[in-house]
Amino acid sequence: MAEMFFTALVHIFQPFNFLFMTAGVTLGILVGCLPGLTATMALAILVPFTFTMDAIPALMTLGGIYSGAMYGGSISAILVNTPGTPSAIATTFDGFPLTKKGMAEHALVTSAFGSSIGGVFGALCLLILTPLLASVALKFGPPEYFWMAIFGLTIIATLSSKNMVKGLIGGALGLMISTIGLSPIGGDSRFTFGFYGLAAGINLIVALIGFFCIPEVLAMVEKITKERYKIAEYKPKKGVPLQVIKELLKKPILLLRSSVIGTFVGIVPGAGGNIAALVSYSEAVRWSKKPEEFGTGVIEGVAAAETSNNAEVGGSLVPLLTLGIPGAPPAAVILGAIMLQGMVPGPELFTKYGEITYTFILSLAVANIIMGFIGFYGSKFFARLINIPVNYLAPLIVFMSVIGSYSIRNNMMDVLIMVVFGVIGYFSRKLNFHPGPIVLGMILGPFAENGLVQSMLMGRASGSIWGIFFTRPISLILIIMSVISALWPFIAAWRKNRANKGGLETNA
Amino acid sequence: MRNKNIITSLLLLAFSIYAWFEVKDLPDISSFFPKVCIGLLVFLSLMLLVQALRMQAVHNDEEKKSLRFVKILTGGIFGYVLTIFIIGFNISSVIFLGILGYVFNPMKTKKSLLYSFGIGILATTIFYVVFGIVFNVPLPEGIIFEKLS
Repeated sequence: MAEMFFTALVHIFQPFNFLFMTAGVTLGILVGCLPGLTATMALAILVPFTFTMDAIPALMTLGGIYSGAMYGGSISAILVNTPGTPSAIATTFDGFPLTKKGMAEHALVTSAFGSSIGGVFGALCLLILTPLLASVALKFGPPEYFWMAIFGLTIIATLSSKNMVKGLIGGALGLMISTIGLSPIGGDSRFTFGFYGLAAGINLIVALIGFFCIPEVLAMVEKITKERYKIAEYKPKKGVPLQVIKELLKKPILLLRSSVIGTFVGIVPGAGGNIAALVSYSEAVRWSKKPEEFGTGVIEGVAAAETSNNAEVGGSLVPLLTLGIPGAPPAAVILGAIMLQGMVPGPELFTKYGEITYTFILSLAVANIIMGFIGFYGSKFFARLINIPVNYLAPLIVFMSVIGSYSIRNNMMDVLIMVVFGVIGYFSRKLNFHPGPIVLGMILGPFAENGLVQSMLMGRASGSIWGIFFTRPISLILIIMSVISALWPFIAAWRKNRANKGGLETNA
Repeated sequence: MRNKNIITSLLLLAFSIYAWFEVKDLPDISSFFPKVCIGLLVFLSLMLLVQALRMQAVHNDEEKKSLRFVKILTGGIFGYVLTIFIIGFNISSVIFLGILGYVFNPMKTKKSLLYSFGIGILATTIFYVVFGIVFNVPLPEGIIFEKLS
């Protein structure tokens, strides 16, 4: 193992390999920061270019793109409240408020540092814990997926502390939107109104651009006056990156917790960086001493989301390398690239092709460090984007949203859906409905529906439809976690009241 | 906000009823989950209605905002999508970026008009090269140009 480790390091630092990996990271960042272009898309487009390359530089390049895109998504999330990739949804919650406070560079450095830490943690877990973690992933069946979705939905309680009912309505609407199209098990058409374009359902990224991007652009232009026509003023200050990193290093528990959540969520097949980041953000709020500050622009919120979604990269490759099951959509593309190189996922990857596999895993850690450096030095340049006057920025964002939503399936129907969702999102924002729970409902809807219906079919076959939901060990753990998570805002309020009463009595 | 919440909850209830009729005749395997979601939405909408009815009507002095620009942009976006169908992505993008960049500019001069169209041409060219040529994503040509070719 030690010998393999050193051989891997030698491969990584060969100039040709290192250059390709760095180019992959840079390209990933650029693609990731454009709304609509996801890590999956970037990988799918660039896989053909790696056909002719040797396995090591090919996989290192793809690993670099994957890691870079996960971080890149945060740049537009922070600067213009538009997640570049679905994984950056939770980054908008505190990233954009920080930008509005004139602290865009703080948010960008936090994102780069958090992403780097999370990415390295995920890669190390992939290296050390792969066989153990893969066995956990195998135990996930339909009932576990259903309860995982329910646990995910309880995050709404944390996301919508201002008005729980509206948050839950948003979640329910998101679940409803996720049912548009052909039923995943029955195959019947639902809410398609005769449009074939809707049969495949509403694409998550299209909805994401609509709900986050268009309302923000409309809100931007409504504030245009003769004096003020920028989102916020960014004035570079010296020493911000080091100051932010020092601040983050004082929060090791936050970074560790987010990394662990990201890695674990990544291991569960199908659950991507978006779920990882939302769960991690929710937990950061839950365990914070000042939960009320989240959402107003705190670096802890950005760190929680970004650390987790990059840790998810390593996690998503655990079931891929051991079992051939991709943990997330971009991992599925990497699976294709691995197979194109003539390798088959499974034990052989760690024996016969050990040199290539260990190089790939270690290169992920190195790619994340490179990404951290790019973010560290590039933040002040990225942050200058918000100095673009709104009269140019707003139409440019719409332009990018249109091309982003079109390019997913080369379908103008998606563009129209994006615009309609955008207008709905703008008005729902006026009514204090946050887009977070709606999108969360959309993400978790398919997990919940498949898990529910498949479990019921399994239950019917075994004689008890509902028994199967409550008798499996992992399901029980998830049920307990869901109950605690749903009740947490009430528990926190009760604890706060008790502490206040205690304080008053002491003062008296 | 009280009246807005009442209207929202009533609209959501109406939507739920409509959605119920859409799925009620489907087989259980396809309709069970949507029905659960509709039930949830009805329950939550009623909660919002009760919450709103209990709420005191408060007059809000909101910051005055330029709804004129919001209307222009909303119309502009729909117009942009429509012109993409007709004259294709490239020309409509230049027009959209050029006109709106100028309309939203507080200082309307000839120079700002040229600047807006310059940005429009530059952005469209960059994205045409990246998407159309590098990534090979076929951008919409529009009905007119499709017929001509």
